[in-house]
Amino acid sequence: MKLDQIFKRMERYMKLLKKEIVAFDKIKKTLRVKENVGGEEVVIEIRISPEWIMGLLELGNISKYDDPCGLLRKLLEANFDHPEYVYSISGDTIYAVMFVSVDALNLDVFYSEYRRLLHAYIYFKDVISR
Amino acid sequence: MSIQKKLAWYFELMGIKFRETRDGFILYYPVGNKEINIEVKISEDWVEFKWTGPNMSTIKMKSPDLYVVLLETMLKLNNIIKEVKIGVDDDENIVILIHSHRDALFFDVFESEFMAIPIAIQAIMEIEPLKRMVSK
Repeated sequence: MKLDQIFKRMERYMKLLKKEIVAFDKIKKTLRVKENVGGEEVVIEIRISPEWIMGLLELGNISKYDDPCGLLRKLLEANFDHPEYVYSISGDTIYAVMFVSVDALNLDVFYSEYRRLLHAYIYFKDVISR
Repeated sequence: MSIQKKLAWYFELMGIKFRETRDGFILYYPVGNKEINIEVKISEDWVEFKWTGPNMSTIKMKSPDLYVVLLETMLKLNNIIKEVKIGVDDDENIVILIHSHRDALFFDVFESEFMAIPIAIQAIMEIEPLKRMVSK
C-alpha cells in the first residue's frame, strides 16, 4: 500500500473514532492525536511506514526515578506478564508502543492495538511507576 | 477449523518441527547451529509464542552495572524489532514473546511474526555481557 493511501486510511479511522488529530506531517510521516486518559491529556504519535503503523505514547523519563534499574526491570516484567502491553525506551524516554503491520491493517485491529496504549499508560501510572 | 488445527497446518506449511502439548505446542526451530524450543500456549483470547533465553541472575549479582545495560538494551530492542516483544520473567530469564490475538491470526501475519523470533534471539545474543556469559 502506498504511503498516501495509508495516511488517508488513518485519517478516516481517526474521524470514525472521533479522535482529534493535533498534528499531521506527511514529510516526517507522523500524525499526533490528542487523548484524555483518566482526566490527563496525552498525545499519541502515530508513525507511518509502507510496512508498519507504529504508535507511541510517552510515559516519562527514566532519570526522574530514584531506582532506574528497578523501573527498567518492572517494564520488562510487564512485557512478560501482560500480553496487551509493550513498553520500550529510547534514550531517557519511556514509551508504551504498538505496531500494526500494514498487511494486517483494518479498523478493528488498529483500534484494538491503539486502546492498548491507553491501558498501558494507566498500568504504568498506577502500578509500574509506584 | 480449530485454532489447534490451524496452527499445526501453519507449522507444516513452514516446515517447523512440533509436538502437541496440553496447552498448545512445542516448536523446534534451528537458529544458527542450535535448535531452540518455542512454547506455544493457547488461551481464550491469545496465542502466546515464547522463547526462554539466558538467565541474568549471575550478571545481576556480580555486575549490577552490566545488568542495567542489559535491561536498557532489551527495552531499546522493543522499539526496533516490531513483531516480537522482549521481557523478563520472575526468575530473571530473558524471554521473547509474541502475543497474537486469536481473531487476528492469519498465515501471513503469523509467518512475519514468527520469523522475527530468530532475529530477536540473534540480536539478544549479540549483547556483549550475554555473549560472554553464553560462550563460557
